[in-house]
Amino acid sequence: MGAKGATLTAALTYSGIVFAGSIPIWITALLSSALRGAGNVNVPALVIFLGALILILLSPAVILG
Amino acid sequence: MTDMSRPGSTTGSSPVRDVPQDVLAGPIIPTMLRLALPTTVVLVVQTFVGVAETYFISFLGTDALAGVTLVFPVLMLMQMMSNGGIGGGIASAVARALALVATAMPTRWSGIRSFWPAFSAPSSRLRPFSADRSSISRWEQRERL
Repeated sequence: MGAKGATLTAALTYSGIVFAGSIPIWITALLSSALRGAGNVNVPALVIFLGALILILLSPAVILG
Repeated sequence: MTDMSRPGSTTGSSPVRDVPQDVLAGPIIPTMLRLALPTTVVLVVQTFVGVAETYFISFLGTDALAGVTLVFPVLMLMQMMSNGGIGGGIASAVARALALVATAMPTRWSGIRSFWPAFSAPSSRLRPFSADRSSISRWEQRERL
């Protein structure tokens, strides 16, 4: 996609790590969709909200080392 | 499926027991708005998480930021395929199957009985699974015994 050098290396490293987590992403999305279809919209929202909270707290430590 | 008007008998472990009543037999627009609110809030929260992550990545330099931005559209496509595309299909299929079971089963909710004639035509046309008719008639036979 037109990337060279250090940008390409960073993109490949990031995509390798982030797409390794695609199976949990799919499982979460499909199970929360089943819950939403059953009329329970609060549990998927709560799960994703807690995940976002953990992500916000951890990402400075994980990204900046 | 013909004797919908007979008084309902409550069964302990029906699959529609945990479904909120207004989802099955409530006003459509307010129920949809109430169901859409938590998911919309979650999407806004996820957007802000993405902004915060991009801010943290910016400390790593231009190359890292460019690399992440390059992967982002592909990642977004995958997430929207799982959440919006196939997830929306799953939510729709589960909701229609539950509506079908709820309308075919005699329950304690009297509102479903008034809901049934309005919904019977589309639900028989848009039946999500072809095995539903036979499974429900089997269920009804068991219920009559």
